[in-house]
Amino acid sequence: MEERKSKGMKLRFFTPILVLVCIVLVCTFYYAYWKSKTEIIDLGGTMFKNINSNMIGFMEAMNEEVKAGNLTLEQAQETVKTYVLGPMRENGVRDIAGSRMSMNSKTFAWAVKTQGDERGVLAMHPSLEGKNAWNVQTQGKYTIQDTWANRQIADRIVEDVWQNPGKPVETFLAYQSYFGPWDWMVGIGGSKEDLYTERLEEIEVMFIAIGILFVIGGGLFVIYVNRLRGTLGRSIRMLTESAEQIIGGAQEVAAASQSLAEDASEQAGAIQQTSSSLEEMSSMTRQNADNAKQANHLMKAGKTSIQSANDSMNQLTASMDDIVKSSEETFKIIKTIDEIAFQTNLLALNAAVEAARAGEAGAGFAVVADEVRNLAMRAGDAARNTAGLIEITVKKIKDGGELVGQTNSVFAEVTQSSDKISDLIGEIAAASDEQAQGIEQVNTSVAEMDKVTQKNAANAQQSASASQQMRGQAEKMKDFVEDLTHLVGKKEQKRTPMPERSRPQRAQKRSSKSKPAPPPYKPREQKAEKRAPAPARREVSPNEIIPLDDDDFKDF
Amino acid sequence: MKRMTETMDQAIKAMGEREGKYLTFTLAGEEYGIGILKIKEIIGMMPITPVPRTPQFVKGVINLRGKVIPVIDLRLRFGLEAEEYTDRTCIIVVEIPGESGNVMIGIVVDTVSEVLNIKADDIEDSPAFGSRLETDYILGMAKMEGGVKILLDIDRILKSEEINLLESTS
Repeated sequence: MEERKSKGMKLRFFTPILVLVCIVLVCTFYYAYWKSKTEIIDLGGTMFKNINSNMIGFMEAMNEEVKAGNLTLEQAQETVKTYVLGPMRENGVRDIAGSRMSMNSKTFAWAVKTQGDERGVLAMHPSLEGKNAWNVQTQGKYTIQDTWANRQIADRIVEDVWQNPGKPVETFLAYQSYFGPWDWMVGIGGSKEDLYTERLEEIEVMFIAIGILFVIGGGLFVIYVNRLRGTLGRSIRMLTESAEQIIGGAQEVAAASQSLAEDASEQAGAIQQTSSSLEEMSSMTRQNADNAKQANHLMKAGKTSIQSANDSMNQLTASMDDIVKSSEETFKIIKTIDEIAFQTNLLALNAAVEAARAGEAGAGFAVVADEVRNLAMRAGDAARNTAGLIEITVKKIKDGGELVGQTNSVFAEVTQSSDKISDLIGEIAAASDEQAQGIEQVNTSVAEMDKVTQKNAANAQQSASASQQMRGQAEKMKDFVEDLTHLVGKKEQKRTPMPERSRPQRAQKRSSKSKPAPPPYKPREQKAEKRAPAPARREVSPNEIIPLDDDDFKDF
Repeated sequence: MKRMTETMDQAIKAMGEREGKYLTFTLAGEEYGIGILKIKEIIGMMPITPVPRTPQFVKGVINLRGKVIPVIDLRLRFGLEAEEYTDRTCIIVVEIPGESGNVMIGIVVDTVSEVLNIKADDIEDSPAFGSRLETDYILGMAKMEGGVKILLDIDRILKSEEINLLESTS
């Protein structure tokens, strides 16, 4: 399974890449090879040209010396040769190690005569000096005739084939120019191979090394990619699961938020009801307090009334006492009257006695005495009656006094009670006031609670829409993950059935059960609406959320 | 003198004339009557000077306008319950015959009522309660509206030796 997968992956993915990389590498190699070669040749040519011009300059200087007569031509030429190629040894070969211009056996300078009899004579050469090489043929080419002694191709870089004695045939790169005064075709050059072989070899080695490294790296990369693929597969699976979970979660969150919003709006309604109830309660409590205050005032008024009544009662008691005193005085007077009546009665009786003693003569007197006695008796009776009446009056007054006393004490009790009642009512008033204040505070708290609940409702609404949005995005993410799965080469997994069907239905049921579709909570404050600018409607490109482009995969 | 009085009494009795004016008074709620001619004077209660070694019913003596008169309490004499004297308590000064002429004696009664003219027809003899009881001090029973008044023979209320004693005290 793993094999097949990796093969598939290679085929799908890495083979073109590898081929492309190989082509690029080879092209690069060839280009680098060719470029290096060209560059080296150019460089060598330039170098040779420079040396050549130096040599020409030197030769001109020597020629000037000859013209000045300081040196002979031979001397001058010898100086040049020695300078360039080193001193001549006995075997006719110049010691090139003694060259002041750092010549060697492979890179060296020469001069060929081009005119007259000496045409083709090598005027200067490390080993063939003085020899005519006009007809020397190397690999079928007349190098001297065609190139070295050819004035037509002076002052340019040339290529030729040359073989030094005892050395293999080599392709020479050289720069040659013509020094007229001495009829020298001066050239300087070196084995082309020597110039660039080493470097090209280096390049080759380098490229081989790169190739090997590339192969190794490719292998490692494939292994790594396989591993990565496994990890990626797992990641994708997990990502898919996560996306599904996110979808489910988002739905749940949406449902929960919705119900939360509904609950919050219900709560807000309840809180408003509570608030209005509290306001009613507050007004009632205030009324209570007012009533208690009024009752207190009334109680105070009643207290003063009771006080005045008490005073009146006291006055009444005093009056009654006075009456009793007066009655006693009257009683005394009546007693005196009674006494007088009694004495009169006695006198009348004595008179009667005397009249009786007088016999017939006292008869008239006896009548008078009897009348006097009758009067005395009446007076006495009247006095007695009056006394009785006064006694009764006094008794009644005393009873009344007792009653007044009792009433007084009752009034005192009433006063005390009213004092207590007044205090209690005052306390009630104060308590009602405090209660009203407390209710006021509770009311403000409830108002704050209301605000908070409304905010909550708005937030829940917002979060519901956000979770909806999230769900959409998760769906999109899931699609992307599927695309990714395709790309990675996994067989398309069966789409796990979305919880879309079950959950929203449940949510629907729940919402339908909870209440007959309460209208979506509209926060009273406009701010809340502004804060939640209907995010559900805005189509969000998934790229905004998951910026995965095809380029990203190509980077693989 | 004695004879003369006796004769007078006898004459009165003989006349059967118990009829006449009586001073009535109350004693322990009962009405009594005394013949008005026996009465010297009626006075209110006045300070009584007690006299030692006298019977209990003798309250003492009073000074009636310069004359010392013995006073007896009729309640005590009649064996009734003694009562505190009030402002209605009166002293009836009577004149009774003694060994040495008439003697004035004060009799303390509860109240003095009136002078009544009682006819002979309304007076009856005291009923015979038996020989043992002394009723000779009762002159008769006066039938009045609503009750009976006992008419007292004031001369017989006190015995002669008692009168003598009183005479001696005065």
